[in-house]
Amino acid sequence: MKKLLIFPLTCLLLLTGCALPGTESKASSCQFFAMDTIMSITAYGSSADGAMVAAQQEINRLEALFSRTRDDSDISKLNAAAGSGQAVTLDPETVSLLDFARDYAPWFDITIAPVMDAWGFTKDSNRVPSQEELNRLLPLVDASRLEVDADRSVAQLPQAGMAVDLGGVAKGYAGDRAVAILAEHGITSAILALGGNITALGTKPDGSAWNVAVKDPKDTSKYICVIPLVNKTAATSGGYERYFVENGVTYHHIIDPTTGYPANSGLLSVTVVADESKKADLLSTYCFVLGADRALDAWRTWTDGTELILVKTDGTVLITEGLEEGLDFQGKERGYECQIVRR
Amino acid sequence: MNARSSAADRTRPTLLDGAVVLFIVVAAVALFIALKPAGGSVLTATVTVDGQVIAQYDLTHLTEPETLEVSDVPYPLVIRAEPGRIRVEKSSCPDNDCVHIGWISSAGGQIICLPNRLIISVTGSSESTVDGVTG
Repeated sequence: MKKLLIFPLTCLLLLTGCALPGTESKASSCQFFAMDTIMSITAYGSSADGAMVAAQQEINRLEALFSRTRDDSDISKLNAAAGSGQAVTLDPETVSLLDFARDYAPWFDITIAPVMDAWGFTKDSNRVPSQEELNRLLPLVDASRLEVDADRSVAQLPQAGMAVDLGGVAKGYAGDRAVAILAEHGITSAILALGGNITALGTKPDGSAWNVAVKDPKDTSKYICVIPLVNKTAATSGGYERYFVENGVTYHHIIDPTTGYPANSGLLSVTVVADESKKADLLSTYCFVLGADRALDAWRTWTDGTELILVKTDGTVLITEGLEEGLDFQGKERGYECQIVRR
Repeated sequence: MNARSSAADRTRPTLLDGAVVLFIVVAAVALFIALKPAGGSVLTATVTVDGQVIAQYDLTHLTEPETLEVSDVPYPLVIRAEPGRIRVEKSSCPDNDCVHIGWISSAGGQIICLPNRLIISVTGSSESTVDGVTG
C-alpha cells in the first residue's frame, strides 16, 4: 500500500512548489501624482503595501526639497538668494544632487531655468522668446558658476536672475531613493514608473526580467522595441510629448542650453539604461542635446554598463551593444532600421 | 523476493497506473487554469479624475464612436472613444500634452492630463506582455 501512494504523494510534493495567485506572488500597486507627473509602483511580497506607502512618502519628501514652485523648498531658497552674496544652507541631499548634476554642463545645465521660463514651459503659457531676450538670458545659464560646498552643505548662485531647476534629474533621484526604501522593507521584486522613467528592482517573481517597452516617438501607441530590465532604470527624453506649435513651427521642451532654442540634434528620442536612476534620467536629456555622434562618443568612454537607444529623425535606431541580448525590435514594420553599435 | 512483481517488471499498465496518469492530467489542467493570468481579451478604457472613476468604455465591443465632455475640471476637455481606441480630442489646458499623445489602443496605454489630474488607462487584452513603458 505504501508503494501505491509514493507516486501520487511525490506529485503533490512537487505541486507545493507552484505559487497560486493570491499567495506570495501577489502584486500590490499604487498610483499617485508627484513631481508634476504621474507615478506608479507595483511591488510583490507580503510587506509590499507598507513599503509602497514609505516609498511614496520619500518621494513627497524629496519633492518638498527640490520643487521650484514651492516657496519653502531648498531650490526656491537657493534661487531667491541668487546674487545676494549669501551662501544658502541646504539639505545635504540637495547639495549632493546639485554637485552631481552640474558636472554635465553645458549640454545639460541645471541653471537653464531663466530660459525655460522665457519659453513658458514651466509656467503653462508657451511663447517663442525673441533672440534679444534669449541673448540677455543665456549668460545667466552657466552651471559652472554655481558654487557648491558639500562639507558646509551650502550652495550659492553668484548673479541675480540665475535660477536652478532640477526637473531633469529629480525624478531620477527619487527613483533611486524609492527603490532603496522598498529594499529596506524587504521587497526584492518591484517595478516603478516615475513619469517615463521605468526602474526595475530585481526580477519578476518568477525570476525572469521585466519587459520594458520604448515608445515609438512618431506613434506613441506603438513600441520601437522591448528590452529586458533587471536592477536598472530606463529613462527617455524626446520632443514628441511636450511641445507647442506657433505659426506652423513646432517647438519642443528640450532646450539646448548653448543656444536657448529647442535642441535640433537629429534625434527624435533618447533612451538611457543605467544602474542609477538619476544617471539614466539626466543622461537622456544630455544625449538628446548632444546628438547621436557625440552621444556615442561619450558612451564609448563609459565603463559602468550604461547603454543607449537613439532614435534618429531619418528612421535609424542606434542601439548600443549591451542591450542586444534579449532585444525585441518592433520598429521595422513602421520603417525604422535597427543598428547595433559596438565599441 | 515479493510474490507480486514491481511496476518496472510489468509490461501492461494496470488500472492503478491509469488512475495516476489521470490524476496528473487533472492536476496539470487545474493548475494551468488557476495560474492563467487574469485579464481576458476585452480592452477597457477607464477615465479617472483625482482617482475617481468618471467613465468606462468597453473598447473591444464599442460599435459607434462616443464623445465625453468633461467640464467639472479646471480645464474642460473632450474625450473620444472609438472601437479599439481612445484619445483626448481637445482640451482647454495650456500645454495640450494630453492631446498630443493621440490615440491609445493597447493594454497598459495611458493618457495623463496633469493640470486636471485626469487619467485615461487602457487595461485588459491578454496579449500584453510589457511590464513598463518608457517615453
